[in-house]
Amino acid sequence: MKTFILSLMLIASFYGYSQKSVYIYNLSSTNFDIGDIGTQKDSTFYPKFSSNPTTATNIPAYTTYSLVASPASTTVFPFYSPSSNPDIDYWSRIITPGATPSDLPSNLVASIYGATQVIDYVKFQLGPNGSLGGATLSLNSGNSFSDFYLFGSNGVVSIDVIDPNTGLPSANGETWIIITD
Amino acid sequence: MKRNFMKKVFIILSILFFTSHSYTQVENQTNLKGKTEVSSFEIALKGINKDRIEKGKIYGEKISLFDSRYESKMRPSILSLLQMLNYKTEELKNMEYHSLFRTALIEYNKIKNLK
Repeated sequence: MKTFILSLMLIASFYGYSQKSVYIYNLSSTNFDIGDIGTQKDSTFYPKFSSNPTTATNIPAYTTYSLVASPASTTVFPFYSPSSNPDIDYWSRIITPGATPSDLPSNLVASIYGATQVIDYVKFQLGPNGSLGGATLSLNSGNSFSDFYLFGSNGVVSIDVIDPNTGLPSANGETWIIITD
Repeated sequence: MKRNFMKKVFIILSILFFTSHSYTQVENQTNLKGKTEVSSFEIALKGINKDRIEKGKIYGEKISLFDSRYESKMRPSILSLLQMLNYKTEELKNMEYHSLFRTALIEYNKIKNLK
């Protein structure tokens, strides 16, 4: 009985996590700066959203950063994640290709668009003022849910989007970005 | 009367001192153990991240970190990290690799944030 209850608690803890969370683990000895996080509609691509901060979000060496939906959800992309430091107040929406972007508050974006949006790309740079290079890791295009970028002599920025319940690549899954050197 | 009172105060203070001292010792030991496990987990993760790039070139594909082909290499580090956090071996042995790895990453984050 005890084992059964423990197993149930363990299963519940896995399903309790937000499926579309974004976790960034910087295990490298240099800083990782996010320039922009982009999302797209799961099937029809538009509307698209972009975090587009005025200054890059800095994730220092050996620290972590997460975007987790609030309130907790297994279906909503974490546009609204007040527990993140810094959090993202506004997301820029583009309705059609070439349209003028408009900024919307993150809690509004989460409630209206969160369920149908999936991660599209992450734009970043490494090192002081980007001295170790930078790139945009694109997902979803070509049904690829893993990508990586190499820097310095041993550095790797890797991104994986997986279904947390099966571990398999999934457009609707949670995103793990792990930086090592 | 006063002597009795002073004796009681002394006894109480002694108990408080020894209790807090031994608690600090236990806490330090846990932190020390945690630090070692976290370091070994980080080293294993760094190794595996490089390895998968190389393997990916051989297989001609982009391999996910959660791919069970890395299970044999990562499992010892994951297990030691989770066991340190009082996960029971019985609970862990039946977990699939991706769940184990994912749990370890989340627990790793918790430990890092505690420091």
